[in-house]
Amino acid sequence: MDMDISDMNDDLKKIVLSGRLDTPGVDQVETRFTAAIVPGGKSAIVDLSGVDFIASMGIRMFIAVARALSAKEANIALYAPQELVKEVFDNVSMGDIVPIAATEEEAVAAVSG
Amino acid sequence: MSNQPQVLTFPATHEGFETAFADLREWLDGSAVGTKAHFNAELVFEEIVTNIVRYGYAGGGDEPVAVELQQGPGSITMTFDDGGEPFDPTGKSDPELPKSIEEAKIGGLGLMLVRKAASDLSYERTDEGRNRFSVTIPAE
Repeated sequence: MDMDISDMNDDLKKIVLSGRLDTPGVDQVETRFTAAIVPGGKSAIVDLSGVDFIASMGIRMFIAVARALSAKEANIALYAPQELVKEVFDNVSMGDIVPIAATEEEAVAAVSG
Repeated sequence: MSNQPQVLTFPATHEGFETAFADLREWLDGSAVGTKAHFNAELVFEEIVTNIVRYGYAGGGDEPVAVELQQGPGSITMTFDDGGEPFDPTGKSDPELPKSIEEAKIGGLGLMLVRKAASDLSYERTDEGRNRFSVTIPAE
């Protein structure tokens, strides 16, 4: 599981995840992912185009971070999921609670709204 | 091309899960199923086995978990056989999905994903005191 963090601007971080968000993958990345986003309290967009598998542990990780950010009045949006990863999100109506955008531009718009 | 049936037997531990998960992926690579079936088989295996490892043996016991893999004409069937606490996954209903992040609870999603991926589920508690849970996935 790989993770790359950059600042889009002073108020927005971009995280690029790649690999598998199964239990071993989440174990590897969750602490770093949370620490990269939550303490700063800035909004974040997460590029999922390189994530080729996700299970409920991965969904839990995103919900936990989204909730922690929400308490700091910041937002998170996920974008560009692969088709089968998108189906997993759809099956649990993830888009109702965390924005899932097709493109980076849409993700930026979703967290800036 | 159809894969031979295989039984993966492993201890109900984190390490046991990881080894068996790698074996599952190898078995799936040798089958002619489509990308979606491959993905769903991994998803079902991950959700069921991590549940067994996390909760099934909370009351003790060290009997291994066995997962039987079978490829049919249009499907894959995985039968999860464990010696843990009685647990009927077919008896659970889907959690109510939250409408906002503030009310989102974290849990219950794994079995929901299993149900969405499966075309058929069946459960029995055997006379030997084991859980046998079968999940069939369309091989599209």
